[in-house]
Amino acid sequence: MPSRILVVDDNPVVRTIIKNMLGDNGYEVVGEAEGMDDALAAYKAHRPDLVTLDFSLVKDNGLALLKALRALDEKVKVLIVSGTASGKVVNILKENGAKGYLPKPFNSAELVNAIQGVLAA
Amino acid sequence: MNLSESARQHLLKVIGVGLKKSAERLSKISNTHWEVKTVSAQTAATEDFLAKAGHGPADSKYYGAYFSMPGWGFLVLFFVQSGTALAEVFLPSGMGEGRVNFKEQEVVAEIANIMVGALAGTLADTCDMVCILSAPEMGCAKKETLLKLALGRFRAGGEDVSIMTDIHLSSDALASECSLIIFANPKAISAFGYNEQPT
Repeated sequence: MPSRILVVDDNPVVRTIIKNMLGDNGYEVVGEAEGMDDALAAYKAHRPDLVTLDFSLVKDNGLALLKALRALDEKVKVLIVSGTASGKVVNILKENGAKGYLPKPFNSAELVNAIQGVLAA
Repeated sequence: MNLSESARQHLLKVIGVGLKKSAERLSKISNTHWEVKTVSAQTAATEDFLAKAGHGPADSKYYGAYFSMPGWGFLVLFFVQSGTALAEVFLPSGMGEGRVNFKEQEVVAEIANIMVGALAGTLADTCDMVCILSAPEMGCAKKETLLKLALGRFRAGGEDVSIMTDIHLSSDALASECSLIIFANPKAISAFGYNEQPT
């Protein structure tokens, strides 16, 4: 049974690229979201195995969304996918429950490798 | 207010480290080599600097992406044709009909985000600060217009401009180039451990 993924990014281009990469590699994308409200609603509806999350969202605070997801489900597995390369921020995100970090840009193999690492954690 | 020469050189060195990472990311996105061509820096937003940084071919339009983090503003400018060329290589070839459904500006926004993220992360880590980069604010207009808008956004937050840096990167293989203009306020500069010397 394929692992089920929720994709959260405020840029529709990125969401589509990630969905296509995941689909090509046998993952099931159960939902996509661009902000906190629809991400939490999608998580409740689908209970995915993993969430990919870009924490630099237009309307919402990505760290707040990460905390909200953990409040919903303390076992949630979140892979942070982001263009920001601050080591301090990555550490804070991991201290708040993110299981992995994948810097942009990435290719399909790098995405799959990162997802496998988080799922195995 | 003026920065001491040693402070200015230190700041440019840190920016240079971040720019190298930005160029590497652009290279990875486009599968071509990008490099930093020129860097010029000036304390305070003088009309001369603005005129030079905002100079472009008459009637040519640019994609502009503005980002901010406390004390800093970043404006990425792609000549529209450069943005188009980058967007074309950014989207995976297997996307089929999906490729034509995206607004080119959305693709350029993401490319700019990836590029500036590398630089912003370097600056934040150097100061040992937690800085989260804003999402991009996009526009498509003449270079001078975008520069004025970005400077207005930076100043609207009550920020004084301490230093402006104008940077050009290019890829010969892709026949593309971009400009990156950085604003920083006195507090941001002092976070590097240098205080401005009043004139």
